[in-house]
Amino acid sequence: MLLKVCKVIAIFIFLHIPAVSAKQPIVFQLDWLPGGDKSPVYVAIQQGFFEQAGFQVKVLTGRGSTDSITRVASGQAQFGFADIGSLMAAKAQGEVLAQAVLPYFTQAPHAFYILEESKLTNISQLAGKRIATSPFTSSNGFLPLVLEENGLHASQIQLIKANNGALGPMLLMKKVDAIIAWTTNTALYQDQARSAGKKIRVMPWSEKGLSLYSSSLIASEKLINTDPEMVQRFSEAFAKAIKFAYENPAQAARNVHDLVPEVDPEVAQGQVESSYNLVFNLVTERDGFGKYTKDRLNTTWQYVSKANELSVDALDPATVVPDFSLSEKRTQGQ
Amino acid sequence: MQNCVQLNGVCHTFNPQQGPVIQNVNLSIKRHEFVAIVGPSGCGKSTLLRMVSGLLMPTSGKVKVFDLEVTKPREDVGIVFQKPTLLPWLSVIKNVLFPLKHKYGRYSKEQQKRAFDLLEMAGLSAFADKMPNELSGGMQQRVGIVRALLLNPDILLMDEPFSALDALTREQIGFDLLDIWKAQPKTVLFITHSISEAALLADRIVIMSKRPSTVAKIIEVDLPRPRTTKTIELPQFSKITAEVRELIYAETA
Amino acid sequence: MQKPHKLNSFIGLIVPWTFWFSMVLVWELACQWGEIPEYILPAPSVIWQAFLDVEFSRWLGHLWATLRVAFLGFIISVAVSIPLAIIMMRSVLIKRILYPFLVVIQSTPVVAVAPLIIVLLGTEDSSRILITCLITFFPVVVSTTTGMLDTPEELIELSRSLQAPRYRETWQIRMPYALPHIFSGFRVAITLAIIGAVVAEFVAAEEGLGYFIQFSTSFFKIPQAFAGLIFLACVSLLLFKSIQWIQAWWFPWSMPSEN
Repeated sequence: MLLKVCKVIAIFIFLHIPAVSAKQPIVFQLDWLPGGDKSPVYVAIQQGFFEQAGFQVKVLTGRGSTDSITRVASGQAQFGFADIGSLMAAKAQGEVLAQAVLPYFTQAPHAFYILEESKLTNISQLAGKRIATSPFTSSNGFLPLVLEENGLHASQIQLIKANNGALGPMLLMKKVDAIIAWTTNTALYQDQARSAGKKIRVMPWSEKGLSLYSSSLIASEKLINTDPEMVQRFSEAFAKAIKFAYENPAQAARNVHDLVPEVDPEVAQGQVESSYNLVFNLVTERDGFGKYTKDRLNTTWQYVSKANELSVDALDPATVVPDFSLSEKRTQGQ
Repeated sequence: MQNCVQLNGVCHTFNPQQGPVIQNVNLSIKRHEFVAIVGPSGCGKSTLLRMVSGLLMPTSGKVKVFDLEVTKPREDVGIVFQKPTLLPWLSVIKNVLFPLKHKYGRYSKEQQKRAFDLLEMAGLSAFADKMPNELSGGMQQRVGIVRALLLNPDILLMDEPFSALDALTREQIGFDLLDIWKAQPKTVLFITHSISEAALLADRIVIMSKRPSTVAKIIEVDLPRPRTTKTIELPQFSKITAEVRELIYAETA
Repeated sequence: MQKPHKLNSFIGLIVPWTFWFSMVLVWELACQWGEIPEYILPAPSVIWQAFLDVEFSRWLGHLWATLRVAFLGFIISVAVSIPLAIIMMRSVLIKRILYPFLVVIQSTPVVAVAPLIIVLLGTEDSSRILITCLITFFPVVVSTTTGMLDTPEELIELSRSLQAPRYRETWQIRMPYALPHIFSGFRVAITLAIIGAVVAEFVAAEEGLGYFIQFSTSFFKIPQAFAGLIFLACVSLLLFKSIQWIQAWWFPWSMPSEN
């Protein structure tokens, strides 16, 4: 009898230990709340890409790029989403043990939103207008730069800071002439406008002279140094998920919804579709998908250093990514 | 009779800048004597009481109880305060037993019986299981007295115990106190503002002077016992109260 | 004596309810006739619909996550605050050392420190519980200290004249006397505990009512956010009342008298 019990226990242990140890547990840190624009990580879980690569991934929500970078650098998470600009600014100002391993948005999502009915067509026409933005968005740093590219000075517009959720209503009620928001949320803003019987027009800054890397997959630098093979394996699985998500937006949205029931599949699909141009665009056509180029990293740092009022010499932008994430192609500047 | 409480040249100063509250008080009280203390307000009557109980030490001079100097709080002293200060979360019987519970953490069946007997003597046995807020002010103060008697102290210190009660209740509870005192003889030190109360209850009345106060005069109350409502009608009673009143006015003037 | 009292309690019940009901009605009508857009102020009926649209099990999941943190935070802060108050009551020196420190903690906006706590303690319940504790402990310490110092001086003298051990003075006299104060401290603290848990969820959480509200606003689901908010307010109110009920049930003598 006792022998039998021992046998059962032994088999039980035998069956369970490998199941736990075979897959490497990973904590993935989002830079914001779940949604369609974060779908690749959910796709990678639901489509089994992570599992095939030998990972068991737990997703944590975050409250901004800085939050995400801090948690990855401090080792609370191994991988995460973050704006590469925020990572550069952080690394220029102190030792931050995280690196960007895979470009996700190769264009920045910053944009002006205006009402379709307004006569504005160009950023240069914003002189003397009232523009609302949320207080802590990284867009604020880039605003003077995009204005400058369009022949305006920051003092020529009237900037109003308001809570993120108040921006849409303010625009719809014509309290302001334009708002600053991310193109990832175009579908959401359009929905809100529709309920008020209005339409919204988007002016992405990336089309108006501000062209730079943005959201990236980041990894703990300690991990990159100790196990580069594992990090590469993870980013390959992740790259596969990005491609899958943008080829099958509806499926991607459903995958997010499966893991986070609060997320509406339709809304999430809208977000995936709104983000498409940030992921696949002329930059990825020219440089190839999934690698950074030194030139574009340099350009990005030029903008980021100006936006954050940092010295250009404070950082060698190439050190923000590990060698294996750099494209070998030699590209001619912008 | 044996001297129970003795104060020799007792002085007390709380704050040196304000000078002494009590200066050179000499007083001796015999065992089972009922002594009332009257005087202008703020003359340190309560301070005197606290020094007898050992809660307060004299700045100079000596307080002796049964010829032994008082150096720490004494256990053979029962205190009754101006307000009943019963614990609102305990029933009447538990309030009476509180000193035992508080000192030793428990009490015996016999002690519980004694508490009941004391309540009975004070006419409160029917209220043993009531909560304090269900009792009138007079009854609450009676419970306060019974509580002070629980440990069977030889000395009972009473700090204006009836001042919060209405005039009728006050007279009645005074007579009740005399009954208790007769049944269980104690040395009583009784502070009061009421001259007639002092005359009605006490064997001697100590009149304190104003600050820095000392004993101005001691008056023997040679009224017959037992004292009743009839006592108030005696001409002697009026004479004594008039004399005390005159002395106090002389002090406050 | 009886009759006017009964009438009072009847009016006391009817009037507030009628008031609240008519407030909701005015709100509803204002939204319908005034054509206030949903993203500015959704009508009560819309909020109710949004509440029903979310599965009840998910409400319970979020509620449990918030309550778990709020309760544990509250209990730990009580467990720390009361001994702290006793120590400070006993020793003036310790009080002089600790008090400024406590005031500094209390006046530091927890929202500002919360991200640091998350970095130090991680994103599990423990950091959210600590944040809740930091918000809730102060009223408990202050009310307990005030209550214990409010004990009638005579009873302390009685205790001293009995030469009873000091722990009994604290336990049998000061603590029960402080109970009415402690409970009013608890009432403040329990609502603060909910606020603390929600603030913590704003900084880092994967579930909870605060997280749910934040999530809803980020997707512009204003009626759903309102539903979460009102649900949260009801829970707070219920907890506030429960503290009162517990006090009335266990310590009826400590309830303030009606007049």
